[in-house]
Amino acid sequence: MYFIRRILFAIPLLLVISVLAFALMHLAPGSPFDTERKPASPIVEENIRAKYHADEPVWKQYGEYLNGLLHGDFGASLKYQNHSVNDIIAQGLPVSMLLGGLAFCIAMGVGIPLGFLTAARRGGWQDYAGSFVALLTVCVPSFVIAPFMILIFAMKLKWLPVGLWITPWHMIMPSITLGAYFVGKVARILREGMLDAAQSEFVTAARAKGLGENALLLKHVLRIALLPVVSYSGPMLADLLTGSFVVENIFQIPGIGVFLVNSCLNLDSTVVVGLSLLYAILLIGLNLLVDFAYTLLDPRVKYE
Amino acid sequence: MNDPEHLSPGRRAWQRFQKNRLARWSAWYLVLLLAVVIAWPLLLKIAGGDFARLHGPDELSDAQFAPPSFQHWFGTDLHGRDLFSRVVFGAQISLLVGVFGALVSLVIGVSWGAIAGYVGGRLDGVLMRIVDVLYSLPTVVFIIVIVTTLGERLKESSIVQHSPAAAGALRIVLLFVGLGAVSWLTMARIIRGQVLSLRSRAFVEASRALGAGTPRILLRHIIPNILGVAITYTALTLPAIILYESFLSYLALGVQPPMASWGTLISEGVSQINPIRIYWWLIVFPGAVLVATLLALNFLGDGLRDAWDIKAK
Amino acid sequence: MAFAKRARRIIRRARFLLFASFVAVICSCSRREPPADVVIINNVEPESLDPAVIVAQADMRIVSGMFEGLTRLAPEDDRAIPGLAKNWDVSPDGKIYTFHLRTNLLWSTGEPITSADVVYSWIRALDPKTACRYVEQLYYLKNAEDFNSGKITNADLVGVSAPDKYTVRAELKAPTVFFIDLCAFQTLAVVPRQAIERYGDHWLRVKPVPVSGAFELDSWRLNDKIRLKKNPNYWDATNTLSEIIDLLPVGSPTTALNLYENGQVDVVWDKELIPSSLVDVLIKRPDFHKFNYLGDYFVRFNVTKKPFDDVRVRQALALAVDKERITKRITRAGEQIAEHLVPPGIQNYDPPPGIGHDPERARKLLAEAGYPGGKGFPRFEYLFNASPIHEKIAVELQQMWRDELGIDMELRQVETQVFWGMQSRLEFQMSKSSWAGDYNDPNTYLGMFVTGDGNNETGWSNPRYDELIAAAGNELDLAKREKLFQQAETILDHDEMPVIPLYIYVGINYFDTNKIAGIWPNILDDHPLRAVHRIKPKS
Repeated sequence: MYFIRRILFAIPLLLVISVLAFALMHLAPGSPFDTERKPASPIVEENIRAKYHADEPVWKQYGEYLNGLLHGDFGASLKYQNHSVNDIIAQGLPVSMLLGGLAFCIAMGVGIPLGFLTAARRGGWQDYAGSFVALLTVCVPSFVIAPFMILIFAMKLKWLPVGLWITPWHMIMPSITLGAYFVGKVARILREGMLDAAQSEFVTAARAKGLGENALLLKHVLRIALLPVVSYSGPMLADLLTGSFVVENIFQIPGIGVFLVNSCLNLDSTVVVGLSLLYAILLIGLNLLVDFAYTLLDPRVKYE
Repeated sequence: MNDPEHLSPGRRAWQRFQKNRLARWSAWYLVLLLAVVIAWPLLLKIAGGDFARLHGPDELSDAQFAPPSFQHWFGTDLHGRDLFSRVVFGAQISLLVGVFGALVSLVIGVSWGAIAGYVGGRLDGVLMRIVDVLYSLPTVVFIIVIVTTLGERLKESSIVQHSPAAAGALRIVLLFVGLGAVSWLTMARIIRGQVLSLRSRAFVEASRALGAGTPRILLRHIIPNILGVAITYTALTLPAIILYESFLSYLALGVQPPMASWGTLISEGVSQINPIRIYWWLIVFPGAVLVATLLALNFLGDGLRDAWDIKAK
Repeated sequence: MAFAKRARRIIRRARFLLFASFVAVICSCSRREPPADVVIINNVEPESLDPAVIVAQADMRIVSGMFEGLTRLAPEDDRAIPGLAKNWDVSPDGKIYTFHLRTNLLWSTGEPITSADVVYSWIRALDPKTACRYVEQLYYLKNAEDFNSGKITNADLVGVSAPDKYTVRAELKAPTVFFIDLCAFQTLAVVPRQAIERYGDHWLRVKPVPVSGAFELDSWRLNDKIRLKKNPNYWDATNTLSEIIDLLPVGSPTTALNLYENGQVDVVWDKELIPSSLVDVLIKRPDFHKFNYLGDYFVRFNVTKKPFDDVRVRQALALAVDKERITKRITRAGEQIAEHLVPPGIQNYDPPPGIGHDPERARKLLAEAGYPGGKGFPRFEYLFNASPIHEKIAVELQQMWRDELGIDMELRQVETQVFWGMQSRLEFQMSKSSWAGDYNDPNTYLGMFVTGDGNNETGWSNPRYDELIAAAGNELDLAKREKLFQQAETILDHDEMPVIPLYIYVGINYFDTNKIAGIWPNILDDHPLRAVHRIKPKS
């Protein structure tokens, strides 16, 4: 019941988001149809605008847009005139999803052990070193990490390709760069969670029962400490899946992230609105999934 | 008589904070940075003449791409401008954007969350749904649209048209308004949670039973108790905003040239990382200062959180 | 704890499934395609591949491989040579061109290409509904302008017709000496009516796209790549030297250079794709090819607003610019400074002398205009779009005017899309500009500053100038025509100065001449794809 209600609530939410994105884009100065070369006569300009219904009042444009949405049509890109927003999503989303998925695996695969280690050896040198590394990955911007990785692994050592998205080899550096930031995030969240959990009453009780320290950490503390990580993973995945502009841009990857940023700069409003909706849908869906995972992980949690 | 139980929450936090070595060092680093940021421009003004010409952040010279030396401590860039000076002046911008952005998020976040949590009921529902909507918009889109759209609209307004100072500051104001506008959401959620739990706590109930009015309860009980959370999250928002600003600069949406922030300096530096020739000082110095500052701010934030003993929600 | 156990089992199974699907996805995503013969980096993603829509030069380089006009450009020197037309006759007054098409022309899908297709393509470009931005290239035809602006609606009145299946008759409103060059321009290319009428805007996305040129569109993935494959039905297919060519959309010079250095691409052919911080080193390497290019960088004034409505102010600012400082310090590829708007090396023309560099006179002029030593000079902004090179030039200009004239300029950087709009609406005081010639004739530069031209964008208007350009347009004698153009240009960039020319671009391509052949340096920076090929290693 709870989940059905959440899904129903998502519909007005999406509507509001589409209105908001639509309105914001129409506030923008300039038009997506301006180019280096000016049309010879004003009538050409008018015709371009008429073709995309840009000459009609905004509410009418929105109505037409909504009508298209109901038929599963996100509209045509104003910048890439031969492509529709559906085309852009169909081409970009699988790439971004793969990249995001790989980065997610790295974030979890490295972040959780790192967080565990720092919490288990609290106060020791492992804690200091590990926490420092975790914080460092959060503080160094990805547009600094990426060029250095390219310089070392692609240009000097010639181990990996510089960019493009063709074979698994091409995916290594982008996934690491994209995942790095979240490695730090996950490790920090897990560490905090474990330190909190270690103080909780039932862990003290378990310790009193004479359970070994390692078993205690693995069996009880980690279990509880994973919950905040799980709840963070929803928004994290949404961010990862819609791609990262920086990583896609630097490694020349044909994903969604580049469009998300460029379409804003190009005032390509249909693409902006379409991709914003896509992002919202992903976020809502993933948060639902997270809540569902919660019920599996933590039997105490119940949604009425 | 240092029994912690007898101290006010603020006192207790301060004592704990002082024990945290990393946080203390970070605080000193930040003080030092601030001192340099304030003193350097004054020094340039006082010294004047050749010194100012050599080190002025906007003074072009013939020494293009000079490596670090006694004259130019951090080297020079393409236009022969002194990099040390540019990093210091960039710090002004970056810190300004960070601090004001964090303040914007503090003010909106705390009032929004406190109202939602304290008043509750239908208003709570409406306020939190608004947060949900904004949460579901991609941050990048939101910020870009605010910075570009609002910026161009304001540019056309008469206030800006008639005052050169306003025009110059506009981009920076937009930056921290935009960045603050996206970072208050988490703050609002956390504060609301805190207020909700406080409202039902025994001492608040007791105070209300004794006939205390809303303002009194807010002032005496709620605000002091959420102060720690608010300060801590502001301290943690600050580095996030500085980092985001550098990302915007990478997209060329940062401050207007020839002004520079750390972000613009770094993106200028990384744009010339290549296998053939690297002017390493262009990336190493701004990068190191940025990362060091972010680390310090994070350590400070962590230290504050430990000191106030705030649990992750 | 039964629940937790179950959960653990579910998670374990889910983990396995996740892993398995991941491996599957990764494998399926690594595409297995035959490698291309040549991989070229061509600047950012084209807005379209429709000849009537495209504006950017980089887009034209791709499209000209797919759609051909009556003439085409020779790869060696960009002369217009016979394309779909095997030859043509010109009437003595220079106003009627009769083109004779080849008889063996086929679309890549097998249907014959006839003169009706040519007429359709030109009328389509002129049709106001198509909203073609480069439509001026067709205004030389009789009644074309009126048809495009909606003054007449009957397409039959436009000066192009098909007397028979293999003949196209073009009637011009004035003798136009560069008309044959224009026929090679992309706006005039021949496009497939059968596909366009059937699929509308989507026609380039429905496979197979019928093409008239040397290459078919094999695949087109936004921001990924465009793959072209040889069109076997092209009339000159024997001279198409590559089977498959990949064109990558890359906008960052650093990325382009890295991909090239790492051997992932063979050719980078856009002047914007060379990292400016490395130009001085790279230019000396044998695989970097520098050539004169028909394009220049200049500054536009908005002459409708104070203080630039005063010609003395404009001249003062122009005289104070040390152009050499910009080419020596910023661009650094050995660019020539521009004394005049029309780049040297253009056909049929030698530009007159410009105004020169003279700070002393500049200060005097500024004082005469009422701003001695820059005192009282109003605040003004220099508008440019976000790009490192524009910013750097702006910073240098700012310093020069501050030092020489004592006036303070503010920089205003906006997004490229916003920039075009602001420039065309004259919402600026001074703005960065550049122009690359569309065809090899001075008219491609001087024509745009006549009163009211869409690309004038300065608000400047001079009746004498308009007269001279119109007279040159009617002149058949090349020497007299050159005189007229020279007089016009003297008004433009000596007497009136609505623009300050800064420097002439150099074109730079990079590719290894031991591996790749068929790319020649030329002034239009146009390199027909049909000639580009990989050199077969000698066995």
